[in-house]
Amino acid sequence: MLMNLREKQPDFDERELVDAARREDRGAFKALYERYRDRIYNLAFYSLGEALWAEDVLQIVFMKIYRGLPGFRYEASLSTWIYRIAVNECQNQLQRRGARHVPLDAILGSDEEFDTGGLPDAEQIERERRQILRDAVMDLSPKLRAVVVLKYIEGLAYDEIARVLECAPGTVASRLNRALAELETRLHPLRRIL
Amino acid sequence: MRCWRVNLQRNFSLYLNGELSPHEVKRIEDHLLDCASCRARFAQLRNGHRLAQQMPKFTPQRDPWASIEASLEAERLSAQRPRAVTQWRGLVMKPGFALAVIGVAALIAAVLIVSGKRAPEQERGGSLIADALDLKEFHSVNIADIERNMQPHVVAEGFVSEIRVNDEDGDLSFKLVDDLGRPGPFIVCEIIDPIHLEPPSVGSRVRVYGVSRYDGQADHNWYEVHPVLNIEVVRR
Ligand SMILES: [Zn+2]
Repeated sequence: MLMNLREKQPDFDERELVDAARREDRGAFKALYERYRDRIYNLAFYSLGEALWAEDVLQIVFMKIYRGLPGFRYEASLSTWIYRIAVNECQNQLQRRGARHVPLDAILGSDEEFDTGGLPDAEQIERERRQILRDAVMDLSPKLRAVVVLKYIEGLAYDEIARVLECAPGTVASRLNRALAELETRLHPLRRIL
Repeated sequence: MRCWRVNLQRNFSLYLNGELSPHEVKRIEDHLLDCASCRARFAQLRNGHRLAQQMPKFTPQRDPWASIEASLEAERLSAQRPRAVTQWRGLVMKPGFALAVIGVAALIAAVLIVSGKRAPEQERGGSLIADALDLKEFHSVNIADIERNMQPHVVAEGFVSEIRVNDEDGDLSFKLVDDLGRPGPFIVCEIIDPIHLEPPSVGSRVRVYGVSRYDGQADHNWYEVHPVLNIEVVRR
């Protein structure tokens, strides 16, 4: 019982925040913003591949959330609704500006990129590791990338991912399998440093 | 030999993420004991899963809250009074959305809101954001020299050689050149949806304020002012 109450708590908080934000309470809207800012930013960053672009989209998404709140009826959970707005906005943006593809060569690079003469320090290795992983994810198709980000960065359950992307849970499972297989194939040559 | 238990295989990533019932978990584990093809596939996905778990997380370098708040305030104010006639200097926020407010401009707007200095904006009938732009903050560049520019906020003066409307989104862009008669260096200036600006006419001489960037798409490779934040007409 106690567990249940605690699990319900975030929703309960959010409802209060949503209600207050609808009454134009800026503080409540800011609290919602702070809850979702980094999550939406990561989704946008991985969708678009550019930090500045992702920041612009973060702003647009929260403007849309603010305008949409009066019509939000909890048919989906707040987080599902917010993620859906963000996913759709990223798709719009990509269609408008055209996706910028990161070629695989940029990830694998030439050998000397990882053999810089002498041992690079731990920080350098970590930075390269992050870059390689990020680029490998960016090299996935937008559909596969979306499920990977919603699962591994946002930590959503399969059925919530399905609701955000408005597809069947089986589709999410298939896409995730494909995405994991592709990541493994792409990064296989670099398995020693990953 | 290839195995056709596709429904079971489809659950591999759910298995790896601990989202299966104990019954389904057992079904997969039993099958993996017997099927070499599925074991190989499963091993590949498990490696992919391990890599995906290491995906880096990012945080925005600048917090756009000030811009969001300024946009909301600008909208609230513009909803309170009839829409004014668009001026050359006017940046009217469309009800669509408001990418408009960028960095410095938005911060200044936020400061104006906080300090309640709304009088100039009301007198002019333009938007709060437009009047919050400090045009002196924009770095003056020559069209031919823009590739050497390192400043984000720029102002460039030139002639409008052509205007185009993007088929997909209706956004409008125009080319800014030094010389209307000869081909030469140019800057592509984009007026985007949330920032409603009156387009200049072809042949006019204008000063364009906005954010500079390089568009490296294969068929582009040019310098842009994107978005355009303000246009001053020098000569019609
Ligand atoms: Zn099998």
